[in-house]
Amino acid sequence: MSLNLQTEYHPDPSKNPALADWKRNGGRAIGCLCAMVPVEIINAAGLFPLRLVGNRETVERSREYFSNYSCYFVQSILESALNGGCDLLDGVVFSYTCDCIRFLSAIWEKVVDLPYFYFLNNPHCGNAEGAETFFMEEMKNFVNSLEELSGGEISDESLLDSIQLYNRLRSCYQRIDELRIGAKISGSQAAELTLYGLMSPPSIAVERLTRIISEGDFTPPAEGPRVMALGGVHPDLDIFHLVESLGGNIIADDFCMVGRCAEDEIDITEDDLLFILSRFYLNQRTQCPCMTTEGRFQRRLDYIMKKIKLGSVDGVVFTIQRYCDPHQLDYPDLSAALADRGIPTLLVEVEQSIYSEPIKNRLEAFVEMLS
Amino acid sequence: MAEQNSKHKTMRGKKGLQSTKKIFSYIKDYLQEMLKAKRDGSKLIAWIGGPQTIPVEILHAMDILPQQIDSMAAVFAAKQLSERFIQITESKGYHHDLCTYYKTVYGYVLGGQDIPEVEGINWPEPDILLGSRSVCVLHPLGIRMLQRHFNVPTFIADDPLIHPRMDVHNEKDRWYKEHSTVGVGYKHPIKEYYLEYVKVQIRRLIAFLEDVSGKKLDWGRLRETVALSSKAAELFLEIQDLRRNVPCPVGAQDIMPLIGPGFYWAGLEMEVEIYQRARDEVREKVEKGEGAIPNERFRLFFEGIPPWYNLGLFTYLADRDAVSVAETYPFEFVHVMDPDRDPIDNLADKALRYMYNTSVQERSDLTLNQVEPYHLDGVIVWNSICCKIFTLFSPFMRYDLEKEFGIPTLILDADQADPREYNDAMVKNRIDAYLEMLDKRKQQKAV
Ligand code: SF4
Ligand code: SF4
Repeated sequence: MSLNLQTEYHPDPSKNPALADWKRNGGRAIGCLCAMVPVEIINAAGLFPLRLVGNRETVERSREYFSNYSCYFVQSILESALNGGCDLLDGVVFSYTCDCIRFLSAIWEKVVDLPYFYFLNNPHCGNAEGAETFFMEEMKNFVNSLEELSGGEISDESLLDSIQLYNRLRSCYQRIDELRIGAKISGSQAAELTLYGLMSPPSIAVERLTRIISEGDFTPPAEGPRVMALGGVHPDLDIFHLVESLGGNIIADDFCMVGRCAEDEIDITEDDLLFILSRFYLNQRTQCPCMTTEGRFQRRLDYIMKKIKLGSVDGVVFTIQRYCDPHQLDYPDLSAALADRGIPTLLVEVEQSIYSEPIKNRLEAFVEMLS
Repeated sequence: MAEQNSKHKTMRGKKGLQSTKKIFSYIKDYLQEMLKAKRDGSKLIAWIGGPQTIPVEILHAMDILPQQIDSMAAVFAAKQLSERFIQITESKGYHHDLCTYYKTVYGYVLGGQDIPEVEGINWPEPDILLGSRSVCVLHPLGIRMLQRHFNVPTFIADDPLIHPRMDVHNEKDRWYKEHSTVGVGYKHPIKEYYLEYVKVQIRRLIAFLEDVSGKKLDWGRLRETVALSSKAAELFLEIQDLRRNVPCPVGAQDIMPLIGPGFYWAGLEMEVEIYQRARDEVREKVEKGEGAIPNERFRLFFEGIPPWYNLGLFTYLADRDAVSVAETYPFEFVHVMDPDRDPIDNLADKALRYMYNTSVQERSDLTLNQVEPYHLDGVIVWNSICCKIFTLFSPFMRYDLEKEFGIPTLILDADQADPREYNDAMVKNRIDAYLEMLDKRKQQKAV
């Protein structure tokens, strides 16, 4: 497989060659937090939207402004920005994912000096009456703000093109997911390809991923235990590599930066594109533990069970960021539901690094138990 | 009557006002009313997580009995029961760092009822669950968690945060000088579709309640409850205004328990009565020039949720001539409304303009606005370590306070309901050092 994490892209904006190239050619780029930001609109404005996933650098300077009672993911993003790690970005769009992100956005507006800042207010209860209309109104304001930034209009045509482009990217992710669940590629390969898509200009990503997929030059994973991983954001492939180094393979996950990207395409059967986007973001993504949508928990469980069946999963690892309320709150009932169905689970708490001895030992014992 | 809990050295607080001493008896009566309702099925009991967008004024107008998760937990903590309940919840896999309000209440649900000390505060289980995101994302998620347990009809109102684009940061207005009530809620214009969205949520709530109770809302009664709630708010805010006096007539020990009535009983005569009595008492103290503590030297602002298991900390401060003259937490629950306006408009306004729903910057500004009128010397944060809404706010506010006023902030990590992490000696040492520093600052200023 012809993709190299070190030279072709990097989750950290300051080290991302795709971003550096884009900037060299005079392009502008916007960081996005998190999966609720409609990247289609940003791309339609001619800007390159890329997901921020944090990093594992040690947090120091951000302590002056930000609490350590926050997930490391959020702390590391602020730290990176204070150290110039986001300087290649023209700005950042925050959605209201959770309270850690909300407070990050507030201090960001005050102390991080980038030209563009936006807070996109998303509803949490996706199927509440009025939610789709409200979010559409928010998106209208967002469109206006991006038009001001880019100096051009976001026309219906450009938005439609953008949605179609992202649909192609989504089908790439789906294809990657199929290869992965069919054990044609390893979890780390799938994660690498998907992260590449989130960190690269979409037209380049589509082209590149389509080519890689059609070439089909993949190495299948070792025949060890099949693990499904659950949890929040990871800034890199460490968890995948770690499980692989222990003889297992993460054959499925519900990470919003990997497995969940393999989602259905946006159905463009209605006229109002912003309404379509609003509905899509609020209703397709309802398994995210930050959402309070009726039936959300069950949908997440159904998704996990579907993957467990398809991938003949042997065991499930929860990787949860410390101080992450939404994931921590889902964990007990979810792990109990999996236990009821006879599926072994392990909880791993993540802060700065995943390569600590205790985490390694526990994963090792777990993978061994599954073999 | 400070009681010592030997393990963590926690103490109950000493109250100064007669009217606040009585609040617990009101709570007991309310409990009896709930128990009766549970026995004879005459009224529904609603557990609420995330106030404001679930206006209790509506519940009272429909004879549904509201029970707030936060208050239940605070009472358990004040009765030194929370630790055991939290442990029960954690034994089910809930993380040590999660909100201890929910862990306290869930522990009570999962087995805490069998503990003999619960006698007298054995809240009956809910018939319905109601939640909103008006304070934090955890509230509606916590209500969903309880829904999975109880499997009773559940309603979540979705409500939008006031985002930073609506603020007018640069126009730091000073109208608070005329009346503090103006400085309490969000003051800037709110976009129409925000109001509309919240009104939809309130109408959905009414439809839900009509459906589960089988009774129609009497709109005349709703107008009455809104008017009463607003009258009570005026009284409560008048008490807050009176606290600007030097010496300050009433400290946090009394104000904190006074939150309860606005939280549970907004819209009932009872709320108005309680606040009226308290207001009269405070007014009388001001007229006599009586302070909350005998020798007032340090006027403090208190941010965060108090450690309910140890309200005795305020006594510790009082013994060192320090009094909390203003706090943010109590402002959270009351709102002055216009009785001539449509009640849904009023309640939507209350929900949106509510302090914890504003942008973080605006919330910080609201704190800064208290500095001058309350003659503050210092600011103490009880940094509720299980709660993102407070822990992530405190460094932000500290930054603003230092920059705008040069006021140093003391941030004390202490959970609101979980005494396990509480380190009495360390907290007291840090308070002593802080007061010493304030003292030096005062002396320097005087020179
Ligand atoms: S990991 Fe959890 S707490 Fe952190 S940003 Fe994501 S949802 Fe929020
Ligand atoms: S204590 Fe904090 S996390 Fe818990 S319900 Fe209150 S605001 Fe939310």
